[in-house]
Amino acid sequence: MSPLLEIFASSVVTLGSPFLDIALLVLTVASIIFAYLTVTHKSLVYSSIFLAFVGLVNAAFFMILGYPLIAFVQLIIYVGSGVLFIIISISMLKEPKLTFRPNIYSWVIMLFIFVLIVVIGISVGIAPSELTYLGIFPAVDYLVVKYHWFSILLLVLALSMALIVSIAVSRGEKE
Amino acid sequence: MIIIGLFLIIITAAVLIGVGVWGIVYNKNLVKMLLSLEVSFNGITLLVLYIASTTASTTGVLGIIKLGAYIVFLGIALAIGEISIIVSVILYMFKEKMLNEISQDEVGSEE
Repeated sequence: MSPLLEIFASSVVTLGSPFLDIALLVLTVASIIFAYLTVTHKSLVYSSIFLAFVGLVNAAFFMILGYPLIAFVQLIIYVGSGVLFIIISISMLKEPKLTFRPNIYSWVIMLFIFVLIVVIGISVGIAPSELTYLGIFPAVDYLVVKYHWFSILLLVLALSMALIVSIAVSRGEKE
Repeated sequence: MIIIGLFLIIITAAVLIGVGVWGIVYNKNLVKMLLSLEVSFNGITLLVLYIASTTASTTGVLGIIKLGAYIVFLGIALAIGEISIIVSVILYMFKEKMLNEISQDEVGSEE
């Protein structure tokens, strides 16, 4: 077996363990709650922060699916720059007063899209009995996960601190 | 248990896309519409990566790179550009008093 194939074999992720199933369940619930709060929260700043949490949970999903490199791109670029840009931009503005005005059309459209995606996703057979993943650039994925986990941990901590600081700034707290 | 795990990913993607579209439909606020769009974007990336993971065929350089991963890479880059441009435009409109609040209701009602 060539070294590349060995690295590939070591980067394969399979679902099926109870831990992963519980993790998926928790991530699903968290993702749905954060998405709902993003859409319905009255404060734009907090909506942006909940969007950052949706991005974080999505990164965890990508990691479970076997794409750690894309998870890091999601973490660094999407959450790190995009959502923080929104948060800081909005925090510099006057906070608008928002009202929660759901109507029947929005509920119908949401239910329609939900059912459509679930039905299509199941009917086209994208649910095999076992998952094997390649990821993008398996060697890079392997190296990132094995040798640079501490850098990733520092990155997550820095991102969390940036989020906390942005909340503090947007709340008008000095020091 | 495996099927439940896989089903949860489809459910999550569907809910994210649905909630995002729901927010776009009922929100009158430009920034909230952008945020709802981003929620939908997250659901779409999850669905694309999931489909890319479950398809057996590989493509790309050396046969080890999946097309879905490329699509998600491109999508994330485009989303960042979109966020930067739209938020900048909203900021500009707010600074130029084109928007009293960052709300769609106020567009054109300033004069």
